[in-house]
Amino acid sequence: MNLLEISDLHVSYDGIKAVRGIDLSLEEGEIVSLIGANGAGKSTTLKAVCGITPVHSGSILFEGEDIRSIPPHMLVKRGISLVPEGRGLFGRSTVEENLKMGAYSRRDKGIADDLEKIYALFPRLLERRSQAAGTLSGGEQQMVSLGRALMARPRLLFLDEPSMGLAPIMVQKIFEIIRTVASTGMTILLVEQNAKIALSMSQRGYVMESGKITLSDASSALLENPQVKAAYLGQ
Amino acid sequence: MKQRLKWAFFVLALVLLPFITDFALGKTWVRILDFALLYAMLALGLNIVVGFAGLLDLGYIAFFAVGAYLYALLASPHFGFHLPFWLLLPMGAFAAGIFGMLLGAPTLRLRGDYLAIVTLGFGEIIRIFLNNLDAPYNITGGPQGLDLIDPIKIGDFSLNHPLGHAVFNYYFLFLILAAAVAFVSIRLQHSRIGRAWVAIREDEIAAEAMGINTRNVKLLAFAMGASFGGLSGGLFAGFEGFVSPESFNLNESIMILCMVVLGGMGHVRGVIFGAILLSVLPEALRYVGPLEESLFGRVIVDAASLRMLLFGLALILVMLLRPAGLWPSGTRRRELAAHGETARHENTNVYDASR
Repeated sequence: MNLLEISDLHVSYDGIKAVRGIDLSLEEGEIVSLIGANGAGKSTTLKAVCGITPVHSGSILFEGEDIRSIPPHMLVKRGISLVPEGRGLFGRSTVEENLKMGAYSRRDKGIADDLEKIYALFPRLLERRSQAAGTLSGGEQQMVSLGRALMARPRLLFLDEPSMGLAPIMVQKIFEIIRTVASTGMTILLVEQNAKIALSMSQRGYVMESGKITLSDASSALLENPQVKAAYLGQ
Repeated sequence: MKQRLKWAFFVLALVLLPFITDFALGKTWVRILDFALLYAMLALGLNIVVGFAGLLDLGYIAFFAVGAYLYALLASPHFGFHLPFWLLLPMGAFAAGIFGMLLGAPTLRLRGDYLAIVTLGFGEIIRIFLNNLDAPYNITGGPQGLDLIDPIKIGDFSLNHPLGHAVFNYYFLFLILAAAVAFVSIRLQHSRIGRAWVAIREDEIAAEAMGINTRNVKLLAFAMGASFGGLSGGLFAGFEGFVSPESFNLNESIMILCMVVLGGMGHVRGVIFGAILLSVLPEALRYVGPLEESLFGRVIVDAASLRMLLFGLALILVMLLRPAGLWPSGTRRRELAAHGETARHENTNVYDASR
């Protein structure tokens, strides 16, 4: 059974049909990238799955159960965690407060241990733990956002444009970290405009264009696909 | 030990304050202190909505009105009810809390200026209702308001009792309740709910993604803030013995908002400071007229208009010189001071990613 199974999903907001009937699935432990240009409907798809944007029609199954009517805060408890576009940090709160916010939906005793794990993963954040998150560099902020999402102990992680607004060298760094997270067996759906780096680390990829999925294949095949090369890889 | 000694001195100072004030400035000023404490409670209530949850509310005075009218209606000859204050104050807080949710529910999706406009309208609706509910049945007494409201009585002892003079009695009652409100505020701020408020204030989508039920948490902010307003309203009615719609106009809402912003949004001590300062300052500026006369031999600028002018000037100066408020919380100060450092961190990071 697929962990996430989206079929014939339609989403509109403000009168715009942003997503027009897409099918997408993720198996447990898989890293899948969803690439496409600005405004293709990638982020809207993520928001719809997370319950933030209402779905017009279609079905979203998580572990075989329809989650369309479940409010976003309950989905977090079920194990869906989102690293929002633009990072969505609580800028006035400290790094540590941000990370702890990530565990808001949990009530178990493992939170302190998990915080140590996040600091081990991002030693940089340990140095900055009591600094306001809004004052960090873009790359550090992305680390906080990623760490915060992991604090919820997700089973499915959505990353919305993790490379956005980062210097090229920082993009490399962030993707190294995503690779580390993935190596723990995490299931990840990666939404990216930077097709090259996204495809280089995922197993499969979907290409989205004006609300529809136009291509779907193994990432290695997509990297060689002449259409993808011309449109997204600049070759 | 040193901390305890400090606290003991602080409490002693607060206890002695009305007597010293009376000795130096007279009973009028003790009354001003009473109002300052009342405003402190109101400002702390609004601080929950505006400071903690980041929801701009321009009609906050409506909740004060709900508490005040509830007390007035159930403890005056108007309907002939004379319920005791210990029942009326919680009832007022509860009723105002319900009104808070009533305002919160339809405005959940609004933010910033849009929310401000709706809350402003809500405040006016309540006031206009109070003004007009004297016909066909006289419920609120209309523009004349309600008077002969029972004073607050503890056991058989009315706080209006000449013994020790009413302003002193109310001072101590207000002091205790203001301290309780401040204590609850601080506990709320550091609770799970308090953290959820911070999260929705800073980024609502991210807060949702953290698993926060943003709807309930916002409604709770409205209800908690409103119930503090309702509590102060009841105290106001008992203290004044008279309520009328004109005490609950937009100016009052804005004044309380000024106290919160000026003192330091989200910082309990700052907000109390702002409330006391803004209730004392306009009174202190009443001395401008006599001062002019003694300096120039006659009144050059009308004292009343000069007073408001100086008050406005003071507000503008504070916002220019201390944009985070007079006594901001550490978080806000951190944010405003960090610009130079941020730039430095940014540079070291971007150019040295190997670290």
